[in-house]
Amino acid sequence: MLAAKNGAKSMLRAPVKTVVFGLILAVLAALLSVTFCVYAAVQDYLRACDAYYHTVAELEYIGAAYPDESVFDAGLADAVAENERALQSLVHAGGVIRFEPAGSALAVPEQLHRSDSLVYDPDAAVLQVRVKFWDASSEAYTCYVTSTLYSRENYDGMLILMRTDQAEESDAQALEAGTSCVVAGRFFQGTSSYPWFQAREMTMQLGGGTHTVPAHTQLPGETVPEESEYRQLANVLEKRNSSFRVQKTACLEDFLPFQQEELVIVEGRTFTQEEYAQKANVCVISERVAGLFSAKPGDTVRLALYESNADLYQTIPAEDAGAQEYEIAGICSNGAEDPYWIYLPDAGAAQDAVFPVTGYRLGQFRLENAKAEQFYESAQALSAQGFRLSVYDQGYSAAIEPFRQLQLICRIFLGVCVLLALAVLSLQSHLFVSRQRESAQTMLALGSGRAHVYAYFLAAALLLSLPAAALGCAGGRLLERRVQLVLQQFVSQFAAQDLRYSNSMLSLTRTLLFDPVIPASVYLAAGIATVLGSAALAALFTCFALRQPTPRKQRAAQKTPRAARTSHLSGRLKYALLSIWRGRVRTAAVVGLALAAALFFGQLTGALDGYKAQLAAIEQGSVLRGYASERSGQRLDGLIVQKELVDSAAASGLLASWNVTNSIAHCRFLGVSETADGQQFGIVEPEIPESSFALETFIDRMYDEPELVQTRSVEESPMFYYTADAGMRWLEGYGESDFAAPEELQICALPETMLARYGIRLGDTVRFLYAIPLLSGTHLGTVDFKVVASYVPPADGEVIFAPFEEFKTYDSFLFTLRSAADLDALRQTLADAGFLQVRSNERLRATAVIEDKIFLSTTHSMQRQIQYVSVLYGCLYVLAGIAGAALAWLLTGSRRQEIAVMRALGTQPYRIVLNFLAEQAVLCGLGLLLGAGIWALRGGVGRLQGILTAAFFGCWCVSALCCLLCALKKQTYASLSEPE
Amino acid sequence: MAILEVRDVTYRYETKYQTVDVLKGVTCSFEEGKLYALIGKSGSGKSTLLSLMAGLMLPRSGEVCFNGRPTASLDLSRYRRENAAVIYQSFRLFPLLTVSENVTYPMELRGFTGKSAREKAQRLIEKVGLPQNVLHRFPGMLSGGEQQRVAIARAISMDSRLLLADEPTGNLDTENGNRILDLLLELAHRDGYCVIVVTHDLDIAARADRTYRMRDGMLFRA
Repeated sequence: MLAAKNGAKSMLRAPVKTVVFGLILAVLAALLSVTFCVYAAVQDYLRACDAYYHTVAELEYIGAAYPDESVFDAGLADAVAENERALQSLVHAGGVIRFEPAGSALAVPEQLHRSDSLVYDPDAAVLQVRVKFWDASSEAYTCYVTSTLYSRENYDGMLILMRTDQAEESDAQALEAGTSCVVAGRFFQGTSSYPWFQAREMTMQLGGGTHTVPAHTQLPGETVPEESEYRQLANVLEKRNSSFRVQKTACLEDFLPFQQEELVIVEGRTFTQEEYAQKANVCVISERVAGLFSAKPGDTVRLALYESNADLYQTIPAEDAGAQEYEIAGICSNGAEDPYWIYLPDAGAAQDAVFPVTGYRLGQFRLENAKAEQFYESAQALSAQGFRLSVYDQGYSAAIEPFRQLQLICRIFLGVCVLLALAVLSLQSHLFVSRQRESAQTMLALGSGRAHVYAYFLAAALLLSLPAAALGCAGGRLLERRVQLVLQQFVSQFAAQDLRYSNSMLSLTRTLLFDPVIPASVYLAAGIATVLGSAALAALFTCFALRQPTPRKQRAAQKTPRAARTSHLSGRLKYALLSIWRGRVRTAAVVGLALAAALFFGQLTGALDGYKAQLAAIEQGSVLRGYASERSGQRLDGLIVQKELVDSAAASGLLASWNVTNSIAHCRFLGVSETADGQQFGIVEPEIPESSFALETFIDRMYDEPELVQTRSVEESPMFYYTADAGMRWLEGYGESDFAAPEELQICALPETMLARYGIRLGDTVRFLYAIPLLSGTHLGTVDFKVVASYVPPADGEVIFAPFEEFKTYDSFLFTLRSAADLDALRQTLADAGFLQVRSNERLRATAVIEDKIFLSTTHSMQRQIQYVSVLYGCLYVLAGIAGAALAWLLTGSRRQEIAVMRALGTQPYRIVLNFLAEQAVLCGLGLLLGAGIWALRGGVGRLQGILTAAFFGCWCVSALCCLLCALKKQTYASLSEPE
Repeated sequence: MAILEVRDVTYRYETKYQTVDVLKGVTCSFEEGKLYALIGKSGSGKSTLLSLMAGLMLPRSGEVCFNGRPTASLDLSRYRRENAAVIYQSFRLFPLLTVSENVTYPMELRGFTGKSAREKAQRLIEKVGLPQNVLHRFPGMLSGGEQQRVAIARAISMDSRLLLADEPTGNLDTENGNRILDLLLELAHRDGYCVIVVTHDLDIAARADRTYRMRDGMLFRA
């Protein structure tokens, strides 16, 4: 108690010092508490973000019919087989929480007949008919439908016009009039108002194998036998067409359409964790499915599930599978592409994923938010194989970016605050304890225990730090709201980014509000840390004081004498030079400090220059592409893009290259009319039927032939948009420019597959029969093209590329920016031209998408980093300058005695100033020059580094000069009479 | 004739809390060839009077005259450089200069450099009773008595006739103190210096040619 009282007295009797240190400590405690709070708030927010945002990556294959989800593309099956290992390693890559294959099952409800147009095979039918007669004019049988075994619509009792495969060969006797037949095939749009039916062979899975059912079979009786294969085919068709796609998922909320909020639960609920774990017989169905069932949540439906990793629809067996009852847990909204979906709970994928091959979606990855970027990079190797990975992070990366920066700043600031607090507390403890050392020795001499001495100093330290910490923390608490506002403003600046036409807009962006609630315990922790630090340092310095009773003078006397050479130097700077030479530790310290400062400046300016150079390199080296699309921004072709829109964009001068394509016809290869070496061949051209039926069938078949696409550039056509290399081979003398040339050249580029199939060589002239659909009817004709190039098609589907021709509208419009720096200008150009943005409500006009998401996030992040670093480094430069000035002051101040003696000996003031200033300037300059020299060897000294180095030198010298001028005051002499 | 005269000198220390009249009309004179002792209690104004005589400060009123000229009219730096040498209790040698360099420093201030200065330093070191081998040592390597002798050598190297010593034996043991006092007496009596010693030591006062006592800012002849 006595010790505490004495400690308190000693502090109170030096009120100015106590108040000054107290205020400094209070400010530091406030800064510490505020920084702690900000750090805690940022940490909380980042944790909240991790829970709030769900990152999903979708893996697709860009096949010929992309994005049709119901087709079976053999190219996908081949690509999956070829890249099985890479795909599996992707499934097990770091950061993957789970992989969910795309729906590879169909659910067939019991006793539900779908008659909507979105069924898989809407025109398929199995009918029992009575043949009435052969109608030569329409080249079809007129039949009477006696029974509809399967069709979307009921044709019982109706007359239909039926063609068979043989009919086109004018085999009118294939079916006898008056006979009863069962027929399989498809209805089609005929030339009269009667329903037109094309009888065709159809296949189905039966007994574990593929069974082909003939197009028609004459019936022995009036009814189709129960065991007839036609009844089984009808059953299969019914199942195919009444089925729904099924998606099994381990987390419905993470399933992409739900994650992107394109689908939402409109009634009922989602699955529970137990239902996921037990794979319970519950389901979530779309509103459209619910409408078909007339069901609501809580009802049950009976569904038979058919799963397959082959062509999904074609693998439904004729045999029935056991149906099970599923309770409807909830009803979700309808999808835009296909509104008929059923979702079932799943416990998660097996160890090795099975990749479905129906449609182009292979599945989706649920990723750890923070590792999504790394995962995306690891998947890039697959893009050359036709796969595409799209990451949907709901805006996570953009949301956390400012907070990552904040976190970094907080760490630096916290470090600086802690160091400053330690320095201030150390200085205060040192001053207090060293001044009271004699008191401590006296206390010990008078019989006080060491504990009493410690208590004395600790009490004094606590008396200072406790109220200071309390004051500081209270101040921090008062500042809390203001700090929050500043932070929110800081964060909101990040959102100020122009994302017009960006592919960032293709996915949903959510926002988690940053509104931290900071508990008082954080402030308490900051206060306690300050007080404990103060107590610990007081104890430490007391310990030093009690352990080092030997005065400095005695230690000096104990030193081993060393030999010295008396200098023969003379002149006004002799003292300075001798001081530099003999100062040793002091000399080394100043040179070392200046060297460190120079290296520090070099490091900071180098880092800043590095960031700027990186940004410039990214801006210079980035190739930004874009395309016209429809509302969803997914399609690249099959569009209607007005020529005026394209012309406006192309005329802006902002595009390095651009391309438009037009699919104008389907072409059938007729043969090589002239080889590359000039050999000519006669080609027998097919006879184009004159009768309407034969002509129609002929044209129908023409539509199965490859498309003729006019393009300005083969390599820049939509087919190769996602492919790194088109594998082009050019005939000598020809190139891409020939396709964009205004002259109408009769040249073409063919796929390698076609060259191999027909034995075509580059330079050959080939003849095609073409069919161009016009309003007045289909126009047929022949055309000769010289084959000047070949390409490797990235997926199934062959296209004949021909030179560009101007049209009023185009199928596609792809472009590449001249420079990433023109991005803003291009956005404006697109807006002025009339391009819409994706997800806008207007459907009729073309949208434009610029693939700048990665570029924008990278450059934005770097720009912010440069901005913060500039501010932060600016503070560090100022701090370094202050530190330099303080050190110069202290070092010069430590020579006051020498200065006083010089003055007492009558040395002129200018001579004193000259000597000491020269000493400081030489030492500081030497260190800075050394540092700059080292930096120059590493790659050159920048302008800013030079300025900073000079400024530091200036700070050092000015501070030394000021200190010298102070030391030259009269009061200096008083110290001469004092004992050392 | 008096080399130094102090005429009705007053001096006052002013702080925020108090004003102390340290010197209250002090008058005295000092001649060459004599050693004067200035004694008194702590705070009586001895060191202040010494500082005024050394030209480190100027009096508030009255004047300090050197050879009949008030110090206020002189260039004080030059006065200290050429006419008044001070010896301090704590020696006040330059720690980074050798003994030789410490002694030659005042000579160099007056433009007396090179070999002749070093030879003079050797003579002065010999004169103050130190061996030649200390010339190239640093002050930190010498004992207190030796350092004080070096300080005296430095003071007399200035060729000034006025030697002011502030507690020159305060940091020394009796034996060393006596030696220093012998040296100062020798300088006064044999070489004709006017030596003024501020001290608490009554033994010094007893051996001085004349003793003044300071009390409450007033000077009395003891």
